[in-house]
Amino acid sequence: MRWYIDSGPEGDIVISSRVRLARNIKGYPFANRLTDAGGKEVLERCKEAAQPLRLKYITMDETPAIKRQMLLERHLISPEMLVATGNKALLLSEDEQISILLCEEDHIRIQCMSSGLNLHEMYQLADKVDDVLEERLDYSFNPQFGYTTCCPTNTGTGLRASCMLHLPAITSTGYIDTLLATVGKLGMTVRGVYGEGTRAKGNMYQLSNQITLGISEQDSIKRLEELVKMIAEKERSIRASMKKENGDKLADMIWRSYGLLTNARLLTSEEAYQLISDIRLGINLGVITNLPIETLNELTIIAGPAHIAEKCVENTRLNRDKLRALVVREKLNSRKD
Amino acid sequence: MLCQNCKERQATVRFTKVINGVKTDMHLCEKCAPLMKHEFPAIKSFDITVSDIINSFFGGSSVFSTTTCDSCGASFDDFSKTGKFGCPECYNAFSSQLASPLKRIHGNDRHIGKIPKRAGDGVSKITQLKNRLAEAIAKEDFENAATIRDEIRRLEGGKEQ
Repeated sequence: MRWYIDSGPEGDIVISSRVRLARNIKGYPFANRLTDAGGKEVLERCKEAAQPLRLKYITMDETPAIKRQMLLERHLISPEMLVATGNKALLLSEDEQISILLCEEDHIRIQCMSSGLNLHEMYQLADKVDDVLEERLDYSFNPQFGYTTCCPTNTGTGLRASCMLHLPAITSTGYIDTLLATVGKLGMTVRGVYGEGTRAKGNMYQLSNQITLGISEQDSIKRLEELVKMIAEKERSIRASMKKENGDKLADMIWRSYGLLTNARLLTSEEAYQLISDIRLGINLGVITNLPIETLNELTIIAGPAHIAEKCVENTRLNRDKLRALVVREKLNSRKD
Repeated sequence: MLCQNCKERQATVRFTKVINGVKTDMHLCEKCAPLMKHEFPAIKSFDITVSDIINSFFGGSSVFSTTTCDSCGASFDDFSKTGKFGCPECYNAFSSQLASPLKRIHGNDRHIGKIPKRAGDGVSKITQLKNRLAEAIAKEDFENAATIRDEIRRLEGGKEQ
C-alpha cells in the first residue's frame, strides 16, 4: 500500500512523516540563475548519479498541469514545482516513498516519506540516498556553514523534517492558537496543509523544524518527534474529555457528517475534507467501527481537486462537485458489507 | 496577554507609537491588528513573506557593501534584497558578512551534523573539531567540550591547559 494511504505509528493523529535534504552541486549557480544549458547539464548529472537507486525520471516540462497537480496532492512535488517552467524534474521510486526534486530551488531535494510517525527511519533512508548521490556528484559544502543552499533558512544540514497531524480537538477548543504561537519559540513551525491561514481545512497541520544550522540531523529529528508526541498526547486528552463530557453531541456530529458524505450529490473539496476529518475523529474515538482509516486516507487523495478533474469529462465546477460526491459515495458504500 | 481590542484572543503583536515623546503600547492579536490600521499607519499587511523576513535580517542594518561573488556575479546587495544566494560560491565570497545574520536566523553560525564523504574531505581536522566543540557545548556536555578544546589548542600549536 502507498505511504499516503497506509496508517502508521501514532496513526490516530500523525498521518505522515517526511524528511527532506537540500543539496547543491559545486560549479553551478543555484537553480534560479542556471542557464538553459546549465540546467540540462545538472539534470543529466543528477539522473546519472541516481542510477543505482532505479527511480523513475519525470521532467516537469513534459508533464501536463493536471498531472503535476496530482503529484502535488500526493505530496510528491512542492507547490513551486507546480508552476515551474524550464529544466525541472522529479525522480520517483516505484512505491513513491522516495522523491527527488531536481532544480527546484536547490539542485537536489531528497524527500523520503512514510505514513505515521516515522522520522528516524525516513532520515536514515534520505541519508542513504544522499550517500549514493554523493558518490558521483561533487556536493557544495562549506566548512563553517555546512551544506550551502539557495535560501539561508536551509543552510547547514539542509534538513527539513515534518509531520502531518490531524488535530480536530485542538482546533475546536481554540488551543491551536496557543500552539501556533508557542512552537515558533521552539524553532518549529506549523501551517495548515490544505487552505491558507491559521484555519486549516480538514484540521490537518504540518509541523516542521525551522533551524538547520548548529543542530545535528539527529537532534533536529529528536526534538520534532518529542514535540509531535506531546501535541498528540494533548489532542488525545482533549478528544477523550470531549467524548466523556459531550459524547452524545459528538457522536451526533460524527454520524451527521457520515450521513452527508454518503448521501451528498454535490461536494466541494473543502466540504469533503471537513467531513472526512469528522469521520476520521469518529473512527479514532471508536464511534464508527466498520470503516478502516486507510479508506479515508484514500478518499482524501481521490477526492482532491486534480484527481477529480482528471476523471471529469466536461470539466466544470458543478461537474467536478458532482463527480466527487459520486466517487466518495461509491468508495464508502462499497465498504459497507 | 489578551488582545486589547477584542479581549478574546491571545495578543501576538505589539505596536508602539511615539508622538511628541509620548509612548503608547498596544497589544493585539493577528485578527485585530489589521483593523487598527488607522491608529497605527505602519501596519501595512500581514502577508509577510520569508524573503521579507530574511531581507530584514540581512538588509538595512549592515553597512553598504560592494562585495560581489566572482563565480556568479551576484552582489551582497542582491542577496540582501532577494534573500537568496546566487551560487554555492557566494558563501565564500560573503563569508565575513554572513555569520551574524545566519546567527539571527538559526541562533547559530556553525554547522553541526553530517559532513559529506567526498566534499567534506577538504574540511580540516580543526574545523571538524570546532564543529564538534559547538555540538558538545550545545548539549552542555562540558567535559567532552574541554577535551575537544584542548585538542584544538594542541593542533593550533597553542599551549594545553
